[in-house]
Amino acid sequence: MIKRITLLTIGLLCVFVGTAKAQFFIEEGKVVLAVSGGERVSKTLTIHNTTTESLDLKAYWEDFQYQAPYDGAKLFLAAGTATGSASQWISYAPQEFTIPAFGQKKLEYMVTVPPKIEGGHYGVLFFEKAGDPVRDATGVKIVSRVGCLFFIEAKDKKKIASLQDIKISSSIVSGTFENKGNVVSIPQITYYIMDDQGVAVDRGEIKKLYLPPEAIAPWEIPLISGLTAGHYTMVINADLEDGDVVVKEVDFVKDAKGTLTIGNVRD
Amino acid sequence: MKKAVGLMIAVVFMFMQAGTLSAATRSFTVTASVPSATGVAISASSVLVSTNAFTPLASNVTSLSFDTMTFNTTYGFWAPDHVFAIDVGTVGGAGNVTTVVTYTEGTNQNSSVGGHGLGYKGLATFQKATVSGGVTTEATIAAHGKKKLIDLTGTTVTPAQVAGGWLRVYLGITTDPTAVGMPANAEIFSNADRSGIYDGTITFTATVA
Repeated sequence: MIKRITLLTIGLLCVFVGTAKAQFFIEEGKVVLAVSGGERVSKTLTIHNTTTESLDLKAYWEDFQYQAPYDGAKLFLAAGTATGSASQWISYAPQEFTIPAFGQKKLEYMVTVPPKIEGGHYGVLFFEKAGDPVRDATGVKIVSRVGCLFFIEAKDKKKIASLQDIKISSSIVSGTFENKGNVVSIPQITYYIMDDQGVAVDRGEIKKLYLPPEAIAPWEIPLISGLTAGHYTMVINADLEDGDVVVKEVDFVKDAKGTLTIGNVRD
Repeated sequence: MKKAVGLMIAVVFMFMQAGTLSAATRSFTVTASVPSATGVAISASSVLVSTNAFTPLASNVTSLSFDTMTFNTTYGFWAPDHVFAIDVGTVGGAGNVTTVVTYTEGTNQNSSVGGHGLGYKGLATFQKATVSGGVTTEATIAAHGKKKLIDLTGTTVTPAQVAGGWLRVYLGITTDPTAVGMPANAEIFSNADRSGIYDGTITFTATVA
């Protein structure tokens, strides 16, 4: 079954990449672990070499944080430098290895959680293909690396968020999303707009946000053109995964002159 | 009487069969999930400035030389006759991979006199390349445009910025710092620079978002 999924993945990857074929890839781009204090987790990662030549790779850990504008942008930090770094919890082998042409390699890792864990701890295990130095010439060396993100989160993590500061201006409904919990929040935010007859006149999705704890990110929903004068309700639904959601209902009115006015905002 | 009992037995038998048949009908939920595989493919081409002709480099070439640079006597700068086009393909199942580009300065012959190296004299231009009908078209990624190499301190290209195509980064040497679209404080290689080798490292990092 796993072989079939791997073959399916390779097939899908060839479709998605288009003209550029992957030189190497890891089967899991993200490992999410819900753990308790003192727990130990052992698993493997598989790395594939899709080229006709053997590949020398090295593996190493770095910490990471999502950063503004919280659209997936990350700041990579040396291991052990981020607040709450999990670099001391993880061990892995091998750290340098060669994958033969069209071959694969399994890397084993172990996460040893300290007796007490609170919130989320994030890092990335990088696999790097070193470039050749530029010899006796002015130029650049190219290094390419692929990372597997690690989300190590306490089982009793707190997922709390709010949609707030909602306003309407120039046919755009805007507001902010605040992560008030103690783990990274990656909400899937969707919305629909109903007229006063309860008929949906528009629906859509806000671009994904990636917020560390205490971060606040703005969002916008452009209203469709051609919205007739009347009373409307916009329902905004932020799915925080694992069954947690934040919902906001926003009443607004468009008058005969096209002026938009926000009304009640409620949970 | 016998017929009635027989009929009753037949009816009971039929109900039993119906029960058996409905018990033989079961629904199975079939699922499969494609893992969030992440990969990167880097391929480079040398591009002749005068003709815009692309010459793909071997897949295992990872050091890019700007030599031989010649001196432009009209404008007083040193420049190569070529630039490099770096195609970055990322794979992540549903195309959910971000690419981070970072430059680290290497050898700088001007360092002893407080001058700048390749980071200020080299440029990276971020383009989204698409292909249709065998023709490749490029558009500048507005969020990044043209940057000095030294300003590549974690430049993040999101999946949305290259949706439907792929990232192409042109690497070149500054020839006119005053041209439209040039980043501030870009420098040329001039005769005021110390002779010798200038180099650096560009790292392309791929992770899921």
